Amino acid sequence: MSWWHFDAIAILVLVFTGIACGRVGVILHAQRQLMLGDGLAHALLPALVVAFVVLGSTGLGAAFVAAWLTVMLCQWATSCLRRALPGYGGDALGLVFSGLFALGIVLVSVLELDNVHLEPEHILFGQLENLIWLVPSQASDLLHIGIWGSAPVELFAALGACVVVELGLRWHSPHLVARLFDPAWATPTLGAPARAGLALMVSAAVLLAFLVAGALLAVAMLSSGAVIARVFARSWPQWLHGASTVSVLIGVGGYVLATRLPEWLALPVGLNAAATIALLGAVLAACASALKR
Amino acid sequence: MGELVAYEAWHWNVVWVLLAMAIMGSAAAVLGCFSVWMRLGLSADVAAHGTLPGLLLVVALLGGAAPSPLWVLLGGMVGASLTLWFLHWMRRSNSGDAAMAVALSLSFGAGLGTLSWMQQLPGTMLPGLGQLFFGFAAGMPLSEALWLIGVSVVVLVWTVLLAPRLASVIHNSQAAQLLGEGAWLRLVFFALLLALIAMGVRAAGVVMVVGLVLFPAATARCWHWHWRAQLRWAALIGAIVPAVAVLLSAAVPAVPTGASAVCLHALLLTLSLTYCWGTARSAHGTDARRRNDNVERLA
Repeated sequence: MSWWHFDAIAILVLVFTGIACGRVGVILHAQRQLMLGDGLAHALLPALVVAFVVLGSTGLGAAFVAAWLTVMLCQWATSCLRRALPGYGGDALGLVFSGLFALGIVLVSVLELDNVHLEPEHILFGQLENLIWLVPSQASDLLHIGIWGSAPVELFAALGACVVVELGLRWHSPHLVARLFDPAWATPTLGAPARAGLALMVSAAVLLAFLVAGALLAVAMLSSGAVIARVFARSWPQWLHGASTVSVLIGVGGYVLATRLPEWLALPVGLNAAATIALLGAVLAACASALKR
Repeated sequence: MGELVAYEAWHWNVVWVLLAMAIMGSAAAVLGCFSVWMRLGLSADVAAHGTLPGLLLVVALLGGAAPSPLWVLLGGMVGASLTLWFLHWMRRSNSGDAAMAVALSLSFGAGLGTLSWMQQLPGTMLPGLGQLFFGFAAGMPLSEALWLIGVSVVVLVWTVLLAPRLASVIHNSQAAQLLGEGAWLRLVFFALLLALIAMGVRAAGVVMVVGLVLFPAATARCWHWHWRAQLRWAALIGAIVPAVAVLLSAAVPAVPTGASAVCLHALLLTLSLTYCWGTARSAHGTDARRRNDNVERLA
């Protein structure tokens, strides 16, 4: 067993996740809705359970559709709650996501879905450490294009999510900039298709973060890059590209630290990759915030 | 005979746990009303997540032994306080949502990292993931139930005693500052909130305890517009729902207490909102709008 059996796919998935989550994180941060990413990652759980019960599979296509519908449902439910309970503001989001997450936990417990990657370990820690690829027998095999057809499906899901976010950003960029800087004009003008497109991008990134880091640390994948890049960026494109770059570096750096640090320091136990990535991102974000002052 | 004794023990334990959860839920609901009026609902969520590293630190300090309720209280409060301090520090140079996201990443990343580390150490007495994160009150020992009752009663009594002053601080913060009351009242309020969250974590779970804080306040808001009446409704709802969840959890052990309580709260809120929507469209629509205006002013 060599490093590429365990690390190659995880690192590639983290690169694509960093690109997608960094960009979507900037969009959410600019709208002051970064906690929406946390809420959506929580709310994804009942959607995945319902998708499994209805369709009988935990395939990533079904998960993506479930995530998209969840994003739109959450946005609708939050706006309804804000209208019904004036003065609630951000707390309306807290109500929606804790209610949906609790529903997901009850469904998982009652339906006993322990064999479909929806048990507490996967919900809390993500599936990064399960991305093992045993097909290549030596490092040079990785250069053959044909062998990549046998790679884990999570790699293609990550690539697909990255493409969705990039295409969405290119198509949606003028609308998005208008929405960010002149919401009074943009919100009634853009209409349902633009909102659905934005929800598509957000759902792709949140689903990817959920798979990699679990429901509770997905917010770390979305927020760290955007918060750090905000300190140094001087324009919108700089912020977007900077956040993606920083997210990739945090993801890969955190993973390398989690897998190699115990070996380097001769520690008796291993480190959890998702938690190390979240910690690294948060510490760097705190350092960047200190520099900002 | 042995079965009878076991049944009796189970029976009395569930009664104590039921009482503990009812009082804890009631105290959480009353604190939740003030949290929402102060716009601190999501901060309470971040603080609840911050209890995890504190609890694990206590287990590590005790050499892997199961901590007593006093240690749970101290460890949870220290973890949550540090998380709230970090959140406050991050808010000085970031928007509120970004500060919360980073604080959540730091506290929960530290918690999950420590947890996965300690799970690999032999001889460490840690509850299961489901119990730790989503709560399992029905399996709570009697000593913990008594501690939960004690802390909840203290928190409830203090909050009720301070309620008029807290309401005046929320309603007119400038006047409160002039009277020199705002700062210490907020400090006491946070201490009460953190104590309750730290003690409630074992019963309701790290992730779910905030649901017991936020939901009853929102439901009570649908039923009455006056703040005192909202507190009474919230206390009543907050007591009944977790007690029902304990019974559910005792009957079906696979269902975590915290998650089932939050589900019941969400159902009750949905029904209450439907009622609200119905009355707002009725002949009392103008009255309802006036109530909302008053409540918004208070919030």
